[in-house]
Amino acid sequence: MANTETQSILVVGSGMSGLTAAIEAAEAGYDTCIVERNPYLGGRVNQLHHYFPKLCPPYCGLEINFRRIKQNPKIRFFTMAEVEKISGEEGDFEVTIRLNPRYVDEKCTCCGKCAEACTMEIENAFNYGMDKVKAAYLPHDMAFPMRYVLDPALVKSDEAQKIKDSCPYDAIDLDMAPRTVELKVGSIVWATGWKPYDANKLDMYGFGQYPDVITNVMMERLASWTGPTKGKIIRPSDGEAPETIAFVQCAGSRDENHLPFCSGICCLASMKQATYVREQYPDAKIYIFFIDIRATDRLEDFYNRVKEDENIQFFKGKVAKITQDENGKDLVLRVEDTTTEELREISADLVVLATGMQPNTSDTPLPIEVPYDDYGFVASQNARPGIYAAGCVRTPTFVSEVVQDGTAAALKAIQSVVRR
Amino acid sequence: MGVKFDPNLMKDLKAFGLKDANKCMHCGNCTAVCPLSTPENTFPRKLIKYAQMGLKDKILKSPEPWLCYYCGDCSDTCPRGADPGETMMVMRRYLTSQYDWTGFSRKFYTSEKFEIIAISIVGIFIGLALWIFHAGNPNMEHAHLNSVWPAPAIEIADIVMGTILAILLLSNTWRCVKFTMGDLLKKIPLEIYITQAKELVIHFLTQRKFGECTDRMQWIVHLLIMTGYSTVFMLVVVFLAGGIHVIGLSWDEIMFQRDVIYPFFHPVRLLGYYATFAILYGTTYAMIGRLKKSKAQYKNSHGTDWMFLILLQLTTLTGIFIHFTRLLDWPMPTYVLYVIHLMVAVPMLVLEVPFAKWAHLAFRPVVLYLMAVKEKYLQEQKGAA
Amino acid sequence: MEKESQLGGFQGNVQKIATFPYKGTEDNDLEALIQEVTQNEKIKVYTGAKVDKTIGGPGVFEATISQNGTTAAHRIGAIVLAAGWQPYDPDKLDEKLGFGASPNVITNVMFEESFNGGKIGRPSDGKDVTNVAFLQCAGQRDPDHLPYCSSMCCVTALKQALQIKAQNVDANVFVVYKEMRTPGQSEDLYLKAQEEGITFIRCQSPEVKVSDESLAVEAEDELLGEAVLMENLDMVVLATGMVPVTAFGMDITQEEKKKDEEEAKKGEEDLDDIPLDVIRRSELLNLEYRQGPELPALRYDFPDSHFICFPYESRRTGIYPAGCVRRPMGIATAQEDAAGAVMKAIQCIELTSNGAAVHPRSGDMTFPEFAMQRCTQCKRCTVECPFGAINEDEEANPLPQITRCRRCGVCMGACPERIISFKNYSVQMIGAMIKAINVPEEDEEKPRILVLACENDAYAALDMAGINRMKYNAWIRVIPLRCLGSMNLVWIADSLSKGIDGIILLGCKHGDDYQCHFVKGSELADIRLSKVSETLDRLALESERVRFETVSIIDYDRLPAVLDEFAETIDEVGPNPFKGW
Repeated sequence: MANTETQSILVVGSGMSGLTAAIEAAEAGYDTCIVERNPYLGGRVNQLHHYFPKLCPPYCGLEINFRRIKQNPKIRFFTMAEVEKISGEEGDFEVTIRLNPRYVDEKCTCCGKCAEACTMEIENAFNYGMDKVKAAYLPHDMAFPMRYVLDPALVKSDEAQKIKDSCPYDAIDLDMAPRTVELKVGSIVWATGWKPYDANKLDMYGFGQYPDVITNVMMERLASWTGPTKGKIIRPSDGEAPETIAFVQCAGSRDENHLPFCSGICCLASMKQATYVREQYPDAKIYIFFIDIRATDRLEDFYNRVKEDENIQFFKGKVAKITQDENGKDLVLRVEDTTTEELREISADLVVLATGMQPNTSDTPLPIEVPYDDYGFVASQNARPGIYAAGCVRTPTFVSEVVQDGTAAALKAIQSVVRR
Repeated sequence: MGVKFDPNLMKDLKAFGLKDANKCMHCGNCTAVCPLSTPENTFPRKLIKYAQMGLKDKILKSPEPWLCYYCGDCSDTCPRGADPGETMMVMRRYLTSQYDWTGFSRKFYTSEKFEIIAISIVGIFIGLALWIFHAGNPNMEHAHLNSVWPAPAIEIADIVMGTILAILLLSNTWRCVKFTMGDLLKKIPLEIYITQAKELVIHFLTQRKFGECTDRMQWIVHLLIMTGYSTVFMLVVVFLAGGIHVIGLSWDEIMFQRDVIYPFFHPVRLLGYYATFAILYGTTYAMIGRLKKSKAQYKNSHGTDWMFLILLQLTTLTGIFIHFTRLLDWPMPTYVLYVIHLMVAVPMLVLEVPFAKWAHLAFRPVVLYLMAVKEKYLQEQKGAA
Repeated sequence: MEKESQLGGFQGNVQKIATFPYKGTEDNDLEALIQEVTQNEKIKVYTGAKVDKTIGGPGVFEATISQNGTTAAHRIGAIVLAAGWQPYDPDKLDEKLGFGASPNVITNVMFEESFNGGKIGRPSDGKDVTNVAFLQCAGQRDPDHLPYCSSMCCVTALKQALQIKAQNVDANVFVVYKEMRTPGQSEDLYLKAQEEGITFIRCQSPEVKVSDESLAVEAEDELLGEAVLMENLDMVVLATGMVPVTAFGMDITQEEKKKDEEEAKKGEEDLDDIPLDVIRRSELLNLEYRQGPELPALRYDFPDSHFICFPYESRRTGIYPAGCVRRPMGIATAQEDAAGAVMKAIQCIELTSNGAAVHPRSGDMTFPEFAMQRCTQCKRCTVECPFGAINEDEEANPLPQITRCRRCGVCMGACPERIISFKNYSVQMIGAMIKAINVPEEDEEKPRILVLACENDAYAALDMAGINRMKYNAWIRVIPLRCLGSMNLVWIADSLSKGIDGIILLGCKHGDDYQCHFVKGSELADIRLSKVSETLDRLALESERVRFETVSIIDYDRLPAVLDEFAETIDEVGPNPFKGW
């Protein structure tokens, strides 16, 4: 058996698949190390309001997972970190990790004094730019590690010293610089996840042009109490309550001009979001424009439940374009009802584009050669000896399957280090 | 009651150039993105479904293929690469062949070999006829076409050709009207047909609907080719003898293709220049487009599309050359070019106008006109109710 | 352990498979996988075998396996249940689907079984097939048959249709579907099938028409708005769904009910209020567990985890279902799932051998200890344990099997005699904490309110309310519990008799979409609390003084309001008359 150093497992990405892979491997007795690009662990699910079909909050599972990490000395993690280089081979990888400065060290108690002192505001990436946040900020309510971050722009600004002085615990270090660390690991789980397809490319839908055309991920933030509107679903243009909400399915998905594959989750996500709307607006009219409703296995029950709502209309037809009507308030969706051959123009005052999942590996591939499919997904879980892909870098899917995949990847990573 | 699936139609349509219609998953994007699709006449998705299911009868009754000007929006945005615009084009080819009672059109469309042979035969026939039937002593000093082929003979040939063409085209158009209107044809009072007649003229001349498409360049190019062609057509058929000389209807001042060379600003000469420019510009644009596959509508080229452009361009080019050899007063080149010119132009007229692509110059405005008639009728019905 | 004589299961019948990257069909490489298994010296294979009995718990399971009349006992650390599925019985299908009316109407499963030799022929006479219709969702997504979607039938139909096309490029192949479900990259297979000229018809209720020699399908095509007739069919393939093998056999809750009815006649104590799990006698594991011989199932008899974030959080410690028994899935997912389940099994053995609990209290080294001399054999603990960790002997004495335990403390909360405790968590401990709460005198006009909060969600929510600097009533004192299921009523009685004015329990959502990680903890607490009203009456106290509130981790925005409102109610009700006693 090789030495203990090379028995450790590196997990890149700490979304549900990476987080799971790391924790499961650690709980089976293996040293694991997580590398996460964000200042917090947990990935995209942090930004979701509820999961379908149970309509339960992602924070619940994350909280348990974070507790498992806190209790387990076998897990280490780096946030604001990226893997720059991988060399070597199975059982003996040499990994270079770049750590970006957070400018706040472990002395931070989240007292919030730095944010109080700060006047500079930046776009809030956590809320997909729908609001602003102080440049000294806690990424979100349940951020783990629970520690503030300073934006590099703030550190360069004249305010920097004032912010540093505002910290009663001397937790701010303005001189932090990017640095790299070298790690020796036996195997690697690559779980860098996905990003929402860029809605700006969907010019027929006027995203960016009409403020009331939003994406499904933005809708999650609107519905969340920690979002830009304290959980109130309102029209971004005028802050008014929407009366008619249209969910446009396959916005760029199943589309050769954009993402030819199906992201598998958007149908259910939109149905779930329809329940958010319904909860806040019992009289709102909701349209879901679809090609095929893909509610696989027992998720069919959820579809049936949503279908029972008389004010939710499932409309079979892909929306071709969205324009604004003359009064500049309502959006008009041009769509064919393919079951009746009717050409319709339907007005809505809030449109949610169900954009799909694009693998992050499509623009940020692994720093070592692995096979990809036509769409930039890693083509196989066994990407190469000792390197395993897990979660949405492999196939777009929902949380429980991602966790399943992460657990499976943990096994393969362990087998890889044990085999030696 | 329902319809029966027919597996043969798809295979048949392949010969008319159908390629990607299989891929359609019926999302409805094409119909909704189309600027010309209306609640009364939705297309193109419906037609793709008809094709997939082999519903020949339904296709035959459909006016929609003629309502489409092929701007390409549907094909550009089709999520499946099913190229709905091309399917509509195929439908037009298919309908042209269905309207044609002689069966000639079908052969022309489905066999490139037949197409080339037919054009060649007519061309060679014309060549031979011109070779054999010419005046005894052509003027070799000056380029005087009438000295080789006297005007009355050409006029007679022209009238014969024109009559045959008209009979074929009109009979096919009548079938188009019958298929498209079905029972309604006789139900609608004649009065409406008359009052709406202006629609026919407007659609023919302006192709107004095409202007509603997003890509206006296509409209301009199409309008150039159409007006250029129509101008020449008028010059040849009507002005040839300043009217029809043989039957005593003529006006010397506007005679076309006479040995007199008109001054530059003479209307006939100006019309000729316009036509030449328009056709040349239009066809060159289309040919480059097809070569580069620059737009959706240029991506798939059927044999007949190329034949159409080549014949049109050759006719125009030989026409230009003749114009110059006449100006330069080179007798022999003028006569040779004239033979070639007619060897190209006549087959184009004889074969393309009633049987192939040129036929749409009749079908499309007629169907648009019929739709206006139908709309008016339905309005009145509704009003009466 | 495989019940059939060969390894491979249903896949053994399958000639071609469709999997990543879903660009077409591929040869089934099951043989290679089977070889890998049989050649691995660490794997002992039993075929044609059955598990007669499984006793013990994680780390100390003992399975009795019978094979060809002989039995062998094995010590086992953990179990992966990959017993798979059965096709839905086609004889139960609606008559209009034509099954049974013609030999040429077959199911997707029969397709695989019949044609794994290679040639696809007409079932009646083996002749070449040129016209074939696939009817999807046969008895699926249908409340009268299988209400769920089996996930893999669309891809299977596409694969089978492509197989026919590969055999005869001119064949007319129809797929009549309700919704085409090809998620992820499998969308490419749908496109591939379209490119190959397969015709798709969207129809919610197709009808198979069988007459003497001819077979036809009539389908109302939604996308055409008319019925389409497909005639002269050589074969119709019905896409029947997957039924987990755990769906077969008598449901023990029905047995329990019968028994209870008998017992009720005898006038024994009524345990009816405890919701029972659905467990069927499907003869897979034959567990010797007091609560039933198999895994408890969710809806439609799938013994799946109820948790989105924790798909392997099964209801029996150390037993992990994988593959189509857990939920319907295709081969690619099934392989991943198996790897995941094995990971959990290995981890369970690792943790158990160290004496630690598995998820969600992973690493917890304590376990419930029973002071048996005071036990009254009331069965509360054995019935209520959500994980079946406590067996019973004939005298109804609890026999805890520690390695099955998840350390939730439900037994501790259930026990009326308070004989169950953990080293670091006991009735006395929380009782002492309650005693230590300072209760202001009546004349101070400061009521005291006790919050018993689930430490997983409610307590975290209170925490986040704090981080957000939200304010709630200062009369409140909070004690976190492992799970509300560990809430013992004696704490309520103690609190009230001590003069605490109100008690509010904050626990997870229960019911169909329960969020309690100990399955029934919050529900049991709610049930127990509902019984407290008697106690309150006896003490002449107002029932408003105790309340159960469902709280999730993100409810911190409304939590202060809930608590404030409760405080107001308590203020109105007035001080606890037991104050100062």
